[in-house]
Amino acid sequence: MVAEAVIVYGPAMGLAERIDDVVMDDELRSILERIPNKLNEFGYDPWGMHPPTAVRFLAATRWLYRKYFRTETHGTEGIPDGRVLLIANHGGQIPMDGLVVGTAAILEADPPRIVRAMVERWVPTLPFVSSLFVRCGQIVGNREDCRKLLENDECVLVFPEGVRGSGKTIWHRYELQRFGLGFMRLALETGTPIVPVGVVGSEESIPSVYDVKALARLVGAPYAPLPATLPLLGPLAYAPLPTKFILNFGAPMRFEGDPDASDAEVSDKVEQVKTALAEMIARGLQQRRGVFAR
Amino acid sequence: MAAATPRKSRRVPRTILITGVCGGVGRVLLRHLLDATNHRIIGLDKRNWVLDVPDRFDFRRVDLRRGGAEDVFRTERPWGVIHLAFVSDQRVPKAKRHVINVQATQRVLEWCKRHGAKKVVMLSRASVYGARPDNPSLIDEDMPLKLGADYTELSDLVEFDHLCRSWMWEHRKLQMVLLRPVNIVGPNIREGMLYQYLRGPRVLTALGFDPMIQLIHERDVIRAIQLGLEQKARGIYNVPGPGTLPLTELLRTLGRRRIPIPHPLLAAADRFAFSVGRSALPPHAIDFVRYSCVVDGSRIRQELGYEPSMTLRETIAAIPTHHGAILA
Repeated sequence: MVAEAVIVYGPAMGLAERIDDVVMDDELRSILERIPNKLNEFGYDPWGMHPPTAVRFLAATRWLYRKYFRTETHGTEGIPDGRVLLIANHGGQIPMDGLVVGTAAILEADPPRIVRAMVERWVPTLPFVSSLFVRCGQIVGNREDCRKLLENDECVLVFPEGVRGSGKTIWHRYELQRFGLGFMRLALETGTPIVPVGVVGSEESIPSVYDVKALARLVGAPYAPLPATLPLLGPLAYAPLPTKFILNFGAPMRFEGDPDASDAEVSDKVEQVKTALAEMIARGLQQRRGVFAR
Repeated sequence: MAAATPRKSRRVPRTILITGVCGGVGRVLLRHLLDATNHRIIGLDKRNWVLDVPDRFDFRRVDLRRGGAEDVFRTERPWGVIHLAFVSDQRVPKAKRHVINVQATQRVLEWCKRHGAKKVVMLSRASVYGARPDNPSLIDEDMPLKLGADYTELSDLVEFDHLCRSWMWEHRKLQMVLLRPVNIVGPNIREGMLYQYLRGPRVLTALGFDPMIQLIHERDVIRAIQLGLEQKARGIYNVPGPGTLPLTELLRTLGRRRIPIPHPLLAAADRFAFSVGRSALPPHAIDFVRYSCVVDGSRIRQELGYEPSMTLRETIAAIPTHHGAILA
């Protein structure tokens, strides 16, 4: 790949420039300048990420992060430079937690980090969303790409609970579900520090009281939430409520060992991460004065 | 890597046989090998050689499907064989493509084995992986080839690749390098999916989709072929170009007008436009304007020391305009 990091706007990007006139302010401009990444002559990285597009989209997510979810973030100064795996709890039916963690890492960390989340496999089939996700640095979840991203010293976000976490009902909020082991094997293989990120707020944002499994099977979705607010809000119940978000980034955890060790051995290490993450969540819940606090 | 320098290869003159030498890659490769090495080169093709015949080059007009071809192997006993006789034009009927791409390849491999060839370079293509939503963002050589699963029409491309791959391990005396280059472009390239797609001033795209595209200049492909020929290596290698860019960015740079079609209608729109000659996007290629098929080139970089010599912009500039002119 081409080593020089040159950001080049295409010749006929009239619309993009007009959007930039409206949304770009000093904060976003300074972020764009400080993002450390390896780009080619056209300003794309090998995974299709395009920082100008990502920063334009950040204008929208920053509003959600600051105004809508009134997010409080602690501990981003502990994010190590270079490769790092963010491990967070997953909840709230739609991945607002991913969006908020990603926004926090780019707004609050110094230098700003573009978080590469491992997204669901059906995302690439969606028009507009698919290309936006790729431009913003998101990757379809698979082991090989994750390993290559880490070897490229990127910041990768993994929800080890997967849909077991995001699909759970409001009755089980902040209960960590079973963790996958893949992230630990990758961390061992690539020597990547792990930062647990406790996300508070996401798990009440769409309060699902029941998972309609039959419906989920019918439409081929992993789960079909039934929000408590459905009678009141109708279809709007599927939009996240303006809950108060609190993020706690923990201290980096470093593990050593054989990435090919048995599941039982890897599980022990995963349990340590799970415990640290539970602590981060508990701290967040303590800091929170109410689900809809200001 | 020093092993790739022309100086070293000058010391040992070999006989190299190129099948399909009249094609775009074949002509450029021939010129390059004659300049950069002191190999003697025999070219086979069923088409006629219409250019001058340079020194150290022998042209034999034979059809690999018929008699006479094996006799060239028998009498000349080439040290290295570069097999470029391949039909990628999807307008050629499938049965005929199968005969050329699979059966003739099988015979060439047989002759290589029987008549003492040491080295063979096969040219597959990166599209054999298929463009699918569940593709990794960077595809490694060991990923299963999924092109044929979606488009049986194109199974000969995959079958060719599998045939070479099984020979590679069954006949270890023959050192085989199987290259999977991304879309080849250049002044001499007048075939291939991307070339056909970009032939008109207006092209169909899928509304809301913008896959990443990889291109390689013809000169970089022949550099990879030369490395495959001269390095002590055996194996399968992706051959990416100098970089990856979104389809829309490519079209914008080339000045082609986009006609975005909602994807559920795209196949029908393309079939219609293709049948009346208004689109050059073959129906099987629709997935390639929707999903990415981007390969990782780490292996060829590390094992063969390959680096593209052209920049991404230079590579794009080598794509003919829709009038067929070359600007760079």
